[in-house]
Amino acid sequence: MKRILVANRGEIAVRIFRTLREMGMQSVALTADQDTASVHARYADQVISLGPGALADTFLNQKKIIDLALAHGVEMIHPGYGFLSENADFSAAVEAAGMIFIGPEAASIRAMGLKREAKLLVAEAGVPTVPGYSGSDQSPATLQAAANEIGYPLLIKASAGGGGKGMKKVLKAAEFLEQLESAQREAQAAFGNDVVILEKYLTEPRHVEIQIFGDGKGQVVALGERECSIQRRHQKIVEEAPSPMVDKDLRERMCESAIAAAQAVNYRNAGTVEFICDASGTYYFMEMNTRLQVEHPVTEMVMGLDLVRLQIETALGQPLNLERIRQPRGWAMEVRLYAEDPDHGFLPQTGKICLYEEPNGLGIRMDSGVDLGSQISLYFDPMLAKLIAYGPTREACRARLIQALEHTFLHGLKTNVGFLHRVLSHPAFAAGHTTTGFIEEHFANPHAPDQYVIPALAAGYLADERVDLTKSPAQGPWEQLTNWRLGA
Amino acid sequence: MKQRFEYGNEQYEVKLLSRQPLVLSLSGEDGAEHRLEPQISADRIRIGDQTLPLRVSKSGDQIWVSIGAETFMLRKAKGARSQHQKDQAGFTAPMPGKVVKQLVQPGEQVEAGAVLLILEAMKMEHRVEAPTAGQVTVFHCKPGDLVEMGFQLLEFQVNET
Repeated sequence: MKRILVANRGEIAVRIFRTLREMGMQSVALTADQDTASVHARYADQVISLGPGALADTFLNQKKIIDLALAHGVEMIHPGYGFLSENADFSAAVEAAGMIFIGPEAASIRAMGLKREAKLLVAEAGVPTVPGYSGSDQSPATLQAAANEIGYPLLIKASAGGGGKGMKKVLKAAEFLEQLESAQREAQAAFGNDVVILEKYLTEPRHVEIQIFGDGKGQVVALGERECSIQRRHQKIVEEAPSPMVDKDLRERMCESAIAAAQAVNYRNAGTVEFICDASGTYYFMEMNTRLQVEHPVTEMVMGLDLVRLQIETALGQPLNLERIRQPRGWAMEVRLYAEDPDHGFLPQTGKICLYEEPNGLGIRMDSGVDLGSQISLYFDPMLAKLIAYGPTREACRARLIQALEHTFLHGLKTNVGFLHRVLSHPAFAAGHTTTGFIEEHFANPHAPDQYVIPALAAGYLADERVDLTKSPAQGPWEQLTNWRLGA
Repeated sequence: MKQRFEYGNEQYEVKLLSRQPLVLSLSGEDGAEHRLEPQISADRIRIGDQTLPLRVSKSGDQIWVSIGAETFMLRKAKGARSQHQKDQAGFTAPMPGKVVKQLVQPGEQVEAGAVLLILEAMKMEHRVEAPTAGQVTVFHCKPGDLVEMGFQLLEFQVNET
């Protein structure tokens, strides 16, 4: 029996622990003093404290985590996503300490970590890349000339970047230099490196990514696509598999490209190759994420696989079992629940959860890192949970997720649950017109529906005054009652 | 049995007129009174032609109400607000965070939409804007201050028309 430490917290740690328990593995959780929720620790056999301090002293402290793991007889470390999951030094240090890192080798992480080098690498392997500039001459004059040649609109991106930091869209030549300076400043501040790349910007683009798995010995399999176009400030909020835009031919071509990209770095374990696509079926490589993705559950649902189990088996050197891999079946969608206030610019929210109910039913999956009583602070990522629905068709899946959101209750801090419901209910989403500009286009100024405010005040008043509604006139059939009447 | 609630920047007064049948009166700050006959049970509420799940919980002076996926946070209010309090309601911190920049000086004339103050939390910026032409009379915070959610950031005086 193996002893596996999860160097993470929240919903992803819970999700990994569930699989470890199924596999009969010993599981070890890490907690930090700042993490007053620590729901994930309930799922582990053993809990180790990282003590007090900022993230640099806890979940990002490689030496502390490795020393504690060794002291507790840990044999394998799963990094989850975020934190140290794409840190090449951590992968190397875990293996140097004689443990197994459940993820790719340091060299692969490094090769894909720098966007500019990664693009050149996969282009050599025959993967289509966005027309752009990724040269080492970073002088403004050279960059301006390259930009003019690529044409507008274009994107300026930080070479070491991620999460949208240091990314600028330029619409015409005249504004290029100003946006360049701004991108370089942000890149320097966020990553300590102001090297930028330029890329052609596609109109009505979609974000489609391919899940891959490699055995580290040259064999790579593709597990179909996920569409993650519904984003706000480059943060994904709704993901689905398959993509409403991708047909069998395009899927085959993209899977082939993804496999070629992964083979170019002799990839081991779970990875995701991200592409930007347009309606014509043109697609370009964006980047490769060398970890398990937040949105991995939609692939699990349509492929009938447990990707965490597959990660552990791969890390133990077991061969990829190709017979288990089939075509995607049915449809899956995921929404990310955030502690944020959509009415006020999506600002992060804090507070103690004073009511918590998860939805349930056929084809519903809740991957949550919080519970009643959890204190949500600003120390950690504001993502609270993921709600995933599975259905035989896209429409069945969408309807199921919408009704599940109507039975998801979290009080004590504001969340985006209502906003997600409005996104999924939008006719353009229902029609599959999911481009990366969807939120900007349809939800520039989101707020809760006005017709609910008066009912909410009435319900709040009746509860506050302890009016007994079990004996209210509503005990009879609803039909006996008149509708809401407004006005004197 | 009357109670005042704040939601968003508005204050409402709600009264029970009758239990059988259930009748409420609701008035906003414009003085208009609305008569309501809510179709409601302990965990369901009817809106239009839909019956939706309902959850209500109390936490201090906050009352949280969920109608299906939409959640509303109401605040119990002590009494009616003065015109001055109403005018200042939009200038509270919408989140706990840090004041990063003050863009105007007290007494300086600004146009509607002018950014007065920038707050930051989790590397996200929030801009406090002037709703109309006017001036900030007092700032209750300065750059570098950490403020709690609901903190009154400044006092704003609307130009006389």
